[in-house]
Amino acid sequence: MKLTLHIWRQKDRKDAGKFVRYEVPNVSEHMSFLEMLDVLNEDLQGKGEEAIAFEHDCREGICGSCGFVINGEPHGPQDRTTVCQLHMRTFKEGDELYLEPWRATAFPVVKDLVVDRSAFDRIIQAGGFVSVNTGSARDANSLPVRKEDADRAFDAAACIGCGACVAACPNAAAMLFTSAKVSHLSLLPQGQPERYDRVVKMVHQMDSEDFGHCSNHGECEVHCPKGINLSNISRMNADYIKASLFMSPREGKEESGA
Amino acid sequence: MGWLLRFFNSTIGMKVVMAVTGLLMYGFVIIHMAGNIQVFLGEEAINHYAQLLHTSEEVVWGARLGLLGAVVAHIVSSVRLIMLSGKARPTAYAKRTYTAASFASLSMRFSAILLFVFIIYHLGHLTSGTFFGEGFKLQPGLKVNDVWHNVSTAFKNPLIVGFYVIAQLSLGAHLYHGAVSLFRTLGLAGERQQALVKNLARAIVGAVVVGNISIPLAVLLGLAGK
Ligand code: HEM
Ligand code: FES
Repeated sequence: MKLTLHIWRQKDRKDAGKFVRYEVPNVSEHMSFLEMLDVLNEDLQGKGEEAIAFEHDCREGICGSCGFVINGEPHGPQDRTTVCQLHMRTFKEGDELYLEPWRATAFPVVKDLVVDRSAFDRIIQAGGFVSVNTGSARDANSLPVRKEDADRAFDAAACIGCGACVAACPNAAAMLFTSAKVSHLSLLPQGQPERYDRVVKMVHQMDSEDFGHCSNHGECEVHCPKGINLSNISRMNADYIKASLFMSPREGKEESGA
Repeated sequence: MGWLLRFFNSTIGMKVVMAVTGLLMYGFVIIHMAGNIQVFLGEEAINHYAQLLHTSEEVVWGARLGLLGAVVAHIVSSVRLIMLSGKARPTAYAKRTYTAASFASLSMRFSAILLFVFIIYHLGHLTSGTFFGEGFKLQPGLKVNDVWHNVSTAFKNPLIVGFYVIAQLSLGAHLYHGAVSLFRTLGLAGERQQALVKNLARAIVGAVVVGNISIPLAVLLGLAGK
């Protein structure tokens, strides 16, 4: 099939950027979206033009590297699919597609479709871990976990940090990402000792990165390639409210609130 | 006190302010509708209800100040959040497809502006009488509005009725998304409660909007009032 692409080209962080139109003939329906771009890039390089920059690594939907917006939808039109796993059979002859990078102040464009998602790393660094020396692995079943909690924690832990939630949110909020990272630990016994400190630190880091607020539109949930549920946000809010207003402060940390 | 400030300066804290003040206004809106449909019971019922509300001026003003505080806090938080949101996404997408967001959720800001204009107009219209023009009346010998007379007169004008109806529809949209949203904001609704919250919101918002709209429409059509 033949497609018309309008791709965001931006040289570096400072460049204003613009859409450039490309005609791509002979697209096979068996190609993944990234393979289609590979073909286009080979063609461009053959002509001495600069290849389109996009991020990718595993190309099997598990690393969270890839991702851009296709016609207003992060990762494109197919539910629960990263753009590396999106196949060209989803599109049809003559389709006209607009490819844009995630748009958020917290995710500056590095080049073309590549954005810098270090803000997510800093949210994790603020508290998204369990700081104990675990030693050797525990005996299986010595730490019972309710099946339902284990399932919820597992669902939340499926987040690959791709940033589609931020891209999809009309407020560019990182609430779904942060709540998934808060939840997968707060639901398990290992996460309990730091549970309330963690949520406060991670939320404050999230706010300081210039992400927006949650209006409960639900766009993040439907565009999440891993189907992370909105109820994680509700769970995080409950913990944040409790930790900020009702629990005794950490020693010497009254003023910073963390 | 740094901890309190910190909370109210967080995005979640600001949303908690919106949710709690929204809930307060919700309470008011429900009682307001339930009280006012007594117009359908006739002159004595509605005017007696007006007197009842004014039994104690201290209580009336207490309630008014409380509501004013809620409205101000709600608006201040919404403006702060909208500014942060604009800062978080300064560049719009060239194309935008919404899948989950609803008409009600996407139009919160616009329904809010309409509501704000309506609240000012409505207070000046049927509470103080400032915008009423000729013929605004108090009950004989009392400092209480002659609600029966005022309502019967005001809603003979189709333009005024039209504005009230549009304002109530935007109230309905604001309140529907508001209800669904506030439970999540407060961390009270996980997966289990979603269906319950949505159905409750539909029932309450439906009753408020239909109840409120029925009054001006009935008067216009000669089914209520004098
Ligand atoms: C007077 C003018 C008003 C303004 C300017 C206003 C503004 C807003 C805005 C912008 C939002 C969305 C915030 C977001 O992005 O998440 C909102 C949410 C809300 N509003 Fe209003 N509103 C007004 C009146 C009202 C009234 C009269 C009620 C109730 C009777 C109400 C109840 C709510 C509720 C329950 C929410 C949801 C809070 C949440 O998401 O947790 N609002 N308001
Ligand atoms: S490249 Fe790893 S998820 Fe797409």
